[in-house]
Amino acid sequence: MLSIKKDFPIFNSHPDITYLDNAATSQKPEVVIDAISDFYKTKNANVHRGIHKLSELASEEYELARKTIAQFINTSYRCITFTRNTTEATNLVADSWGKANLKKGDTVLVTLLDHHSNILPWLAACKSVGAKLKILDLGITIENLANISEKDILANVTENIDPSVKVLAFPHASNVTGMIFPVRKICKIAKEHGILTVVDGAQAIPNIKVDVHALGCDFYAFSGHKMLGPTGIGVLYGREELLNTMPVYQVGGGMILDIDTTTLDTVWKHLPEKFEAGTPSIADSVGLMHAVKYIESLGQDNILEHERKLLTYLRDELAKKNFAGLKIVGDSPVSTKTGILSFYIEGMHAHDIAAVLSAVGVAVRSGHHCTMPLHRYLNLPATVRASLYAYNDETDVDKLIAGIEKVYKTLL
Amino acid sequence: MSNDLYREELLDIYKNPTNMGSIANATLSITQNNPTCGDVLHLDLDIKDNKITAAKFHGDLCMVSQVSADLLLEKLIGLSLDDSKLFTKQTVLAFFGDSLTTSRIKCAELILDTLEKARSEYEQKRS
Repeated sequence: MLSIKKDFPIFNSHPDITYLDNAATSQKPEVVIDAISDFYKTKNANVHRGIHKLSELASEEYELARKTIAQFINTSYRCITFTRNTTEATNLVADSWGKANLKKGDTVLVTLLDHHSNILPWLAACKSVGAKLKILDLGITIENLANISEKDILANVTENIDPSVKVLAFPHASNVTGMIFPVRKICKIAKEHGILTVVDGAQAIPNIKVDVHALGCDFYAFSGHKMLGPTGIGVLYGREELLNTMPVYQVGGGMILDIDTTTLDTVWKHLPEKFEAGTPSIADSVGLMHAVKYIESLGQDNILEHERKLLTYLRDELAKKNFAGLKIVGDSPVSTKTGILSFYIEGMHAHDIAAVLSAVGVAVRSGHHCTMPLHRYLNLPATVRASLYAYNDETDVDKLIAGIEKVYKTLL
Repeated sequence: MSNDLYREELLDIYKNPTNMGSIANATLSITQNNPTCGDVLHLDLDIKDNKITAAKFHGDLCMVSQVSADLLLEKLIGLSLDDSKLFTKQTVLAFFGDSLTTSRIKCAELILDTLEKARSEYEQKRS
């Protein structure tokens, strides 16, 4: 088991808080906080513009961050575009590639387990060109959600492929059930049919080793803030030949090479700057680089194993207590998921459960977790989500269990 | 701290609501969502001679939105729908003392949003 809570200053500021809202955002280790502070203290300038010393230092750091992240997911730095977050990355693909390539009669497939951020950008692109968006149910029902297999998912994807399908967008891991998707196999099927694959990696990359080359996806999007990095920085990986042919997304400073003042013809910069208009989040990219280094020092395999041990402990404790009316959403084997456990309690509102837990210092998320289609389809009420990460320990799980006992005493 | 939000007096109102239910053939039936959490409030009003004669609510509601609706409906009977404009954020926050944290204020306000929608639909109905 990992034992790294001491690396996270927030737990010194709030020793009484049990933080189990990691799927929303992670806490930040001291090395990341220090790296951001250190950048502003010692290297701050704008990038790629000045030829003065500070600008060179800042530019070198920014590009080092890009290279570090590229190596982290096994790709070239040219394929890494910095965005604000996962949402901006998926919007970039849907807006640029989608509007340029989709046409009336085409279909975009997303899944019921997608976060709004991988559904709504495609809905907007489809609406603007007259294409159709279809939400794949993956064959899931409320009864079989815990038993859904890789085979079921692949069969459902295959069944829904026809010549009109041009894009398949799906998550690497669900932010509600933690279920890990068979990304490589899905991408293989899609590739055989010439379908573009767009993977939302926000919930996977904090705890799963990602190799975009091995996965075979066309695009992979993730956020810095869920993987120990700062908010305000995200990453879009795209295959180089696709990024090269796509129209620009936002335009402005930093991405233009030339403009003809007579004809107003423009020439855009090459990758990786093509999609980065305006001053980027330089210090945050440096923070993310240090988050990546910290995660590599722990090892994603170790993080996932740690989460799964805690998740097993949590499920065992819940089973021992046998809480009346408490239902886990998608209680599949621990080996098929990340450290997420969503639940509801019959007759109690998720917000009230979360508020009582907060009163005893336990931070969880309540609501639909930006997956309204899933909650509606399965007729699920708002749910409570406990999400574990590398710095959590058994004491945190014990506090959650004690908190749930308090919930029953208070609300029943 | 929300600790005292779940105090006995409020929990008692939550567990034993006075005005929960529905009215058959109500003058007005309004449904309003809380966009931040997906809660749904259904409000039925009977209005005679411009006075609210009966008011009932039900829905998928947390403790705060339910208690807020229950207590506000108490004050509504006998007033005109237009009079309900007098009820403000301060009115519903007062039900909870100072125990509402920022994330729950929207829950308390759901009944106000529902009444606003009711006023606008009633206007349309009459014109």
